[in-house]
Amino acid sequence: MRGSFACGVAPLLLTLILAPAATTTFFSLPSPWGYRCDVGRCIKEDNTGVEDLVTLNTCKLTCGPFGVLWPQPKSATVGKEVVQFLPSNITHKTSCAPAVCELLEQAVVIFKDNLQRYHPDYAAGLTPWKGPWGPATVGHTLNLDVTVNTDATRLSLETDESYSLSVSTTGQTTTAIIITATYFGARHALETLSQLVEYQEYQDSLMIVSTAEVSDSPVFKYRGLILDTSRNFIGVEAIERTLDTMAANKLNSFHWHITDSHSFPLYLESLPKMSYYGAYSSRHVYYPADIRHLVEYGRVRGVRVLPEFDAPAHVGNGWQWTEKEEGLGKLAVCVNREPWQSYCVEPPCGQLNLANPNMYKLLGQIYDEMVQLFSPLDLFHYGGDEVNLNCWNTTAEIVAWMTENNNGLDADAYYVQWGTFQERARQLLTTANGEKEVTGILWTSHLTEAGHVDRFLNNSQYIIQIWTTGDDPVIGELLKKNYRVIFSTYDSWYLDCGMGAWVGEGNNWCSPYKGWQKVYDFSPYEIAINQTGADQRDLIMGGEAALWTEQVDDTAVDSKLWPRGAALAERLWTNPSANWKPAETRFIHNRQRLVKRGVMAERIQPEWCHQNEGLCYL
Amino acid sequence: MSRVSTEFTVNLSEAMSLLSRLLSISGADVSTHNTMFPGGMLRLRWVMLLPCLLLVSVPFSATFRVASPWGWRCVNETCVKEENDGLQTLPHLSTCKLTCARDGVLWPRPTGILQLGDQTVHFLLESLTLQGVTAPNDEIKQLIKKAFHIFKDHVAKNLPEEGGRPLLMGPFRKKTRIHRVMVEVTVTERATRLSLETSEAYTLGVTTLGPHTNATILASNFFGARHALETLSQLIEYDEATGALQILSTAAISDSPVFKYRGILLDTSRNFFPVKAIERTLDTMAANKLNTFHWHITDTQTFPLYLESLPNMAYYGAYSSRKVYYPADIRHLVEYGRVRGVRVLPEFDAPAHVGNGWQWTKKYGLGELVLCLDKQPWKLYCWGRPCGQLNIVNNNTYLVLGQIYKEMVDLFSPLDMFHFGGDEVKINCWNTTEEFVAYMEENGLSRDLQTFHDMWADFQRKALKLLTSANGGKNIPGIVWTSSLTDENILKYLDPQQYIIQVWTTADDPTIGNLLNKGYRIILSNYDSLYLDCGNADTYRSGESWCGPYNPWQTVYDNSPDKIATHFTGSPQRNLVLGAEAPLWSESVDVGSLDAKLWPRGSALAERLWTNPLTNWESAEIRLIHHRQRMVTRGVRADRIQPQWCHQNEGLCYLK
Repeated sequence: MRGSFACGVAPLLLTLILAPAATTTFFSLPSPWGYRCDVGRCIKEDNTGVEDLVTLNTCKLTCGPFGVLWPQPKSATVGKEVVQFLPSNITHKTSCAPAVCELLEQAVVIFKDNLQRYHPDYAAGLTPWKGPWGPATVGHTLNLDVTVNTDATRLSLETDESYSLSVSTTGQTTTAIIITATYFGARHALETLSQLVEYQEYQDSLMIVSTAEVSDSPVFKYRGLILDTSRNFIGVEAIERTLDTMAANKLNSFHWHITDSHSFPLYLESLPKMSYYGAYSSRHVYYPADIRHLVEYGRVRGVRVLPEFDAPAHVGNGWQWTEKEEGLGKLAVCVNREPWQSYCVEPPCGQLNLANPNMYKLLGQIYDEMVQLFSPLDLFHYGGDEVNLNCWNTTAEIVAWMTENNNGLDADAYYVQWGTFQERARQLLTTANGEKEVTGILWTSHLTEAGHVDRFLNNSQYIIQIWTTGDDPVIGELLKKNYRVIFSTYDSWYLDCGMGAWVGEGNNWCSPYKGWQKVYDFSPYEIAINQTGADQRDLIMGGEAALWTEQVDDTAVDSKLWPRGAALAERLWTNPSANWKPAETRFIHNRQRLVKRGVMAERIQPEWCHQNEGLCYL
Repeated sequence: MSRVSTEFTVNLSEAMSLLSRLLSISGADVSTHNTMFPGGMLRLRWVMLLPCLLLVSVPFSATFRVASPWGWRCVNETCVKEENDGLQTLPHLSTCKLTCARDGVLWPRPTGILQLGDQTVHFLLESLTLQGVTAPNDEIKQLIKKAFHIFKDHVAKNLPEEGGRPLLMGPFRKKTRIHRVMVEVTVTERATRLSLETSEAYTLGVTTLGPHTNATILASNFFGARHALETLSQLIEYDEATGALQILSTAAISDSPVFKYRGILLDTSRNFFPVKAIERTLDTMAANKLNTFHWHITDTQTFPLYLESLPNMAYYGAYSSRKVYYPADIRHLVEYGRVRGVRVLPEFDAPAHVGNGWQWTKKYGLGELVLCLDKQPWKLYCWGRPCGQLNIVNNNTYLVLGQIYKEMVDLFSPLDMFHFGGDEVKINCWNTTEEFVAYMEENGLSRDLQTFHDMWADFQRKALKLLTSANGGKNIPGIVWTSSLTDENILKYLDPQQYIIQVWTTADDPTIGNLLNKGYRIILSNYDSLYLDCGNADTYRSGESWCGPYNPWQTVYDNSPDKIATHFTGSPQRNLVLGAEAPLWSESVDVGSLDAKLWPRGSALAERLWTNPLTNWESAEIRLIHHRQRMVTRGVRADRIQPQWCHQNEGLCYLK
């Protein structure tokens, strides 16, 4: 096929050299370069007089054992041939329960849109397919045949996300057969299928590998990203884009750290003053319709939207009205108190007032509305990190209350009260959830330290999210005590590290920047084996990369999350035994694909490395 | 109170007297409306509505449109957030920022007279007009009109939108509706091209009398005038309380830059950047009064420059035909920059940092003009993969190079400087290439380091000659990077009258002292403070990048050319230190994170070079954060450097 183009190239070039082109001719000659697959690697060669070279995309699709699939499936055989087709020639049939079929229809629309985006001139939902196409391309059809065997429509930690995908081609028809237990497996299969497709530049068409067999399931159940929308507000569109991109990488939990001491951007119908006082402005608010929209947007894309309401620390702005306007008293103390270093870890300070029972009234109301907005919940995040005892212990009202109740005023006395707070919070949430227990998640903190954790927290009720370093002995302690855990160790999985400081000068506290290689190579099982002698796969739910937003807003949210979030995704889906090196070429292609889908993912290498596989080594 | 730069021309003193006249006229008016915050009546209505809104819970997803419970009070030049008490309504944040601090929210801070009023007047966008232009000729009048349109577009961007439509605003008071803001610009000189001699000084006076605000701009040339418009745009903010625009009712500013050369470097070879992204970069440079866009167009990785006489360069060397700068693109960008006061300065890096794009020459009978191309193991033949170095012993190299220069001169004309690159030659590439070694043997040249450097210097002499000839015989200053040609033997290789040396090593490199002592003009791009690409993961392995950690804005801001020069020579050497430039090498950047890498750190550089403040970053922080917001409002994806809370709570994000 390339031969016919190669023939045309030489004479044309001569003309170009002899007669300078008129100003700004956009040269639409085929590239002088072609690619040859050589033992799993695409090698760039001069096209002149060579018949059997293919385009870069064609080579990438068919050359390596896993093509350009990301995350790498558990098992896959990808064919060496491609067939061309047009995006208008896709049909589908489904066999499923009605509620599942309804979701599947949406998933197919998303799948088709993703294919449209492969066109280099895709913009604002429009794709200018122009051809010229050969009859084989025009006549070719892609048929999707999807069977889902159960009627689950909500993700839980028990959801079966596995799928099988079989692609075969007979004559003018390529058929993709997808068979799964749940909707969530089926939509993962469509993501995989979309990665067997690429743009074919010489025909201005799509192409798909003519045969493939994929059988796939994730290693970890919980594969997440945290986004903090309190330090800086992140627009709804940016969150949609984040959910899209998580779906593309088969990540399944969007952990939404909605509020913090900086701002309270959550509009609650029963407590409108929280955001009225606490949001940066009325334009920096998530309204109920926004939340419901995003929860549903995530569900269709196989992503659980998991809310966090961080307490009893990390509260503050938004709580200022209770004393003055409603006579409820101060429900948060130390709010914006100075000098901040004495009362919290970063400005501004704020912590709930344990001494005022009205605080629980409000907390219950907040939970009530959150449960409604995010329902049905299968997990809830209570936060629970970084309590500053000095805040409480220097607040007259709390000191008086502690003294009156003979609680004592030492650190342990406060830990006990914090533990009591957590138990009451749990009860309030259970009530809010119609007395149905929901597994809670808590950050590692003083409460989860060695010797403390089983005093305060029941391992059947809580999952502990670890944010300290990978060598923190608390990890072993938690696992030995049968706590389920989620890893978010900051020395590998904090995506905000490596910038300048935002208080003072120098670099920020968790510098350096965590490169994708580091994200990829961090293995929870290895940590567990090091600390406990076993991989603890029943207790390790998975992991989550965190984007705290002190220094991020809409402008850089994509480039901070991606492609590093994709590195996390392969670690958690595939848990590869190898390190990042064999994944690099696929990873770079996946990044290119994410960009085509409209994500401003960061570039990690010169494009030259994408076109010259394996030569950007050290 | 502030430095008045020596570059100021005679026009300045005239301007000063005019300014003071204007100010004395306006004094009376200002005092008439400083008792009450404008818009107070309107806001009171909203406040009265508040209780009902809070009692009746709003149906889902209604955006609340009640006024914020917060206002800002100006206390000791700091905007302090306070709750409105129902009787008194404090100004909104933007109003406070505009009127509170001595320097307002101007960025970079002006260097001469700076007197800002503490009152604002409200107006509507359509009432902002260019009332008069005085200029020596029509070309300059047209330039000023273009600059005014750009200015007005920027002002318009202050108005909030939702889903692409302007938010519901008004009803406006009559006073707001009839208020007119009229700009008058006077330029006396004919210069329409930037050079190292261009005065960029200006004066700006704003006065208000009744329903009229007059902004009077005086500058010796167009470039000063457009800077004045940038400054004027920073005296205007949107007012949340009224939905109208507001401008400071009085201001007197005289301003000129401390350093002549204030640049950003963008590398478009490692990764390609679309024309739109470069336009946005030029826009943002202009907003920061940076004046030089140093375009590192080509390198070993790709040759994205389409040359009409050598189309094979881009055909073989571009990543794809979509990733090419065509002649019309280049001409467009050069003009786009000019109108914005930014020189587009091309670099053609040679004799190293060439490679892809040169593959066709052998096939066409010219021989191998680039050696070691993509040669492995790369570490032996270049400083950064992929390898490639010009074959300086093949005469055809000069034929092609001359052709490249000729077209570049044509595209970027008129050039006032040219960047020859000249960095990171790896002698071992030449010394292991058979053809090269054979040439040396034939010519009786010994293969020692000295000889190779002589040959490299000889190449540079020929390159200069080719450029001069391409430039119609007109000699222009050349810029080269520091390299092994610029060490203590530099006088042997490079003429200090001819070459400006761009320093990319660290601020403590004694080369800097050596260059200054020998009389070389320099531009600082010391990587330990000014490289904007540092601090990501390494491009090719696990671990930090070679020049990590990340250079935060504070480091960029505090990187003082004066201090660096004084450290080595005992004086700031202002006649030799032309300025500085922050490079963005693009190994791990493309359009996805371009804006966030450049901004707001490029702004920190801008104030260092324009204002050269005696203070460090701490006293600039509040203004910078506001300036970052302004850039975002204008469509730039500048990085966020602090929680928005810090913007709303001035001075509380400290570390002691």
